[in-house]
Amino acid sequence: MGNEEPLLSVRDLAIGYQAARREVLLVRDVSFDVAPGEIVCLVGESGSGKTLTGRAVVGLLRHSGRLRVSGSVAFGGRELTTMPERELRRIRGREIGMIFQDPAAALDPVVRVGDQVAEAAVRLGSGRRRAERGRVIELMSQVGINDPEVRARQFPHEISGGMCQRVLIAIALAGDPGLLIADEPTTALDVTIQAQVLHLLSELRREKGLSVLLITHDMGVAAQMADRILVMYAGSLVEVAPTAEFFAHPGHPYSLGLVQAVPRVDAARARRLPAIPGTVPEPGDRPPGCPFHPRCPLRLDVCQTDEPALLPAGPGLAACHRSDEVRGDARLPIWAGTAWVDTARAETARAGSAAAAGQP
Amino acid sequence: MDNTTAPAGTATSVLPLLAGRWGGRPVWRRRWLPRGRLMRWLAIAFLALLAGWALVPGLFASGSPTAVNPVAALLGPSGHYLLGTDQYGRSVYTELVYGARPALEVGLACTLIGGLTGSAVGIIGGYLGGWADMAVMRLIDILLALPGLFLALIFIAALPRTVPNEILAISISTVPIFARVLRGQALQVRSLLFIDAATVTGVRRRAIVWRHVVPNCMAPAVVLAAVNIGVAIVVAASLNFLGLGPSEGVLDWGALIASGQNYINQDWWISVFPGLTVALLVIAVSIIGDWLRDAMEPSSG
Amino acid sequence: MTTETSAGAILDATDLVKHYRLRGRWQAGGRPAPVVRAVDGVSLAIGRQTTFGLVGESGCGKTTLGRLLLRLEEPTAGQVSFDGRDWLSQRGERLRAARKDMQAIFQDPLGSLDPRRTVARAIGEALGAHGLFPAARERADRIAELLGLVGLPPDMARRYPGELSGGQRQRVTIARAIAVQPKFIVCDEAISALDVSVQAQVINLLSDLSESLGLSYLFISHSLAAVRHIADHVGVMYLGKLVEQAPADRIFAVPAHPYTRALLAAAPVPDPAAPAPGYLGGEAQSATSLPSGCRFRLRCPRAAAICAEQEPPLKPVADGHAVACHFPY
Repeated sequence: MGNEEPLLSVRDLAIGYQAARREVLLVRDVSFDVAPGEIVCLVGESGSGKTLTGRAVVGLLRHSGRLRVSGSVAFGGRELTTMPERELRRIRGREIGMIFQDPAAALDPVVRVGDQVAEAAVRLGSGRRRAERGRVIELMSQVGINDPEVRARQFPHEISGGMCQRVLIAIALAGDPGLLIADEPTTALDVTIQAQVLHLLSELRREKGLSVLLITHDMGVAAQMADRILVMYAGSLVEVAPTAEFFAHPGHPYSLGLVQAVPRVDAARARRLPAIPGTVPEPGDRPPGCPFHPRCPLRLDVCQTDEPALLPAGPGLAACHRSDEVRGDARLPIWAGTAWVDTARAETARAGSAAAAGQP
Repeated sequence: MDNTTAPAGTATSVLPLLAGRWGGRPVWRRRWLPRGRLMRWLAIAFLALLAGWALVPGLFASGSPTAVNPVAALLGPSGHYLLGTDQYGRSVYTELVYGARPALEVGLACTLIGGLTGSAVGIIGGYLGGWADMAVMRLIDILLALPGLFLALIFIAALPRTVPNEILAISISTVPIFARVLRGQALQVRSLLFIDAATVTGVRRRAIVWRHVVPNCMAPAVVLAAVNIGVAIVVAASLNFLGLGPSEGVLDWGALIASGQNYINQDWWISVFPGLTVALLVIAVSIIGDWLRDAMEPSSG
Repeated sequence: MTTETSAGAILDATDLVKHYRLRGRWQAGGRPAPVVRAVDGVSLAIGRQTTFGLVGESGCGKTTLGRLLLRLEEPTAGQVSFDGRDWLSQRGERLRAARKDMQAIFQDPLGSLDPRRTVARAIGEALGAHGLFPAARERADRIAELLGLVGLPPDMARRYPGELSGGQRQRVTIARAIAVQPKFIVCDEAISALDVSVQAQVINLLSDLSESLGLSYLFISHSLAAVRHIADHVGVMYLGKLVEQAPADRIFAVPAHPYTRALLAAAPVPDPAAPAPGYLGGEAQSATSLPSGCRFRLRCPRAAAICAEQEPPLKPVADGHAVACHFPY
């Protein structure tokens, strides 16, 4: 996607807070672009910093007393981090939309759903006192709500989670934005409803050229939706790659581990799930060198001292000293309880490990 | 980006306040009041002073609170008589100091008795549910049909005017508020997952109540108790003001206020200083109550 | 439809029903208050050392079913035989003692541990409730041993739940569950609240423990993918009823019920080359106003006239495989 101006351009984003004697960084050195009409998935587990990054992009962290945000966020060529609040608010509704994880909680429980959509439409669209009913119905139909006239008169508790999320998408789209930031939009929804909502987002991208920054922990969702995948771990970006390439040849051991660890319906049964041992480090306890090294099957001495930079690896970027090897051979050794074994040997190892202790 | 802290009063609502969870300063503290920390220390200092008055009154005030001295009657505040004298020539300051002990005794006793009884009743009703809960709720309803002061009034009017009866009356009026709060808390705790988990594990019901329900209900009880000490003292003072308090012994602050009523236009100090003391006590106690409530949240990941 | 003969089954539930009557017997207008049919006649049998995966979306009743089996709530109707005995008639102290054989692991690891008690006391309480290892020294040893079995270091015993990560907490709840040497564990969404990489660890742990300790599980989950890796048999629930039940390999290979097919199709797969998830239109009806006949017919691509008239019973279509549909496959 070289020739177009990126719609969103984040450079060197860092978010931290002041602890007893030093600054603890929750997010560091995050840089990425989102092109017009592109769906970018920001993937990570808890503690990766992905949610904070999403909020920082639209300036939602400004009023947080403790968090300090530095770096640059440029949208449509304009710098958002130094923009006055009033201007930023206009952009937030009109040009950047945002939806969050818990749909029912994001709606005002005592206001009818249609009125909430109308409120957004008035604020962001016509500027007239009362939004035209037509506009509200139009927005609600656009997001696939059947019988919008009936639904508009209902309260949030009367409609299901999936419907609430559609309403929120309608509200987010009221200003006809170019970019939608979706923070775990389907995590709280049933899988069949999730499929509907994700399908809706794809359609919106197709029809209106909407760009989406989709924040999720679900690799399946990322595989389905993303044009490009950004993987975060312990506050840093560890890999950026186009989707097909990412799943075929991941460039970072964490990415590979994540992909392998996800349970899949199409897997053969009794295959031991290759799990990444250990846990994500706390923000204050980030290990020196590469943040992933204590859990990495491929670690070298250099990994414990030198933090790898995000460097080109194939068509994407990866922050690993051995990313070439990882990309070359996508069969990492896996942790089989007491030792690393090659994937091939792991199958036979499981048969004989009936009495093995549980893994750390 | 700059290092701004949240401006006071931005985007707050009552709910996070009640939950005690908001990170900034409470809404009502505008810039011209001392900041949170300072208020807390002032409150503690004041309560410590009152405790000192109660424990060793002789240390803080000379002279006797009861001896009559007509010569020095109705003198205004001065170097010699810090807060003036009342119509009997007694130093108001000395009376104030000596009045602290009975006040605190009543406050503590009533809170302890009423609080423990109310808490026990509330937890039993909330946890057991069913008919036990119904019984508890009706009891609370009956007791609350009359607001606290009136309830105590009714009891004390019917009984001889002694200190133990005063404590009994005020304790009874304390029971319903504890019962109601603890019942609500027990209801909440009862449906917490770890209670179900303990049931499934096979822990005996009695053990569940003592080990899990009670400790997790205590936080609001402690906060309530702290505030209630102040409330009990005020109720006692009010009863005394109305002339319904014990008829001998050191004058309670309320009685002091009452005795100065008729002189309030000229010799205002007799009523005003005890009144101020009571008011400051209530404020101090409520600050401590807020602080305790915030401190009581169990840490979670 | 049983997965084993009743003699070999550790748990045999027949026609379990749980109806909730919404508050207030009557509504305005004189209509009787709606009844929520959370579980509406579910029968299943789980063999020894077997894992039964129970799958369904929110509102299907799977969690309620788990709670009924755990006796956290009493069924409106139905029978349960556990380890050869009549489970529902156990009461009071007999029930409490019998709970030793049936334990549970819940979805919220932080919520299932008392935040004011250390890990050692949490596990120790389980031991103490059944009179195991009363001596302090032996108890401490046993706790350390249990922590080791779930992959935690022994010094974790002194910590409080708030100090641990989600995965560690869940391991502690697993240690507590196996401490009393149960035969059967109900895992109610045991991995849903965990990170992806930790989910894999815990699934592996549960599998290992099942083998080494001879445990049976009822593994309740909304994720078919997770169930794939742990279950021997799978049951699919929809709006209070079991709509399909089969051995795991079979149900993933040849799902018979349209809802099962929809669930499988909708699950996003971490492979961009996989076909885009087909999605099911509409939403689940509420459990208070069920459609006539088959409850799934309003969302079903194959619905026909008969589906509105007759509710399809759960019938075997192959060995060990039962479906409740007029047009299976």
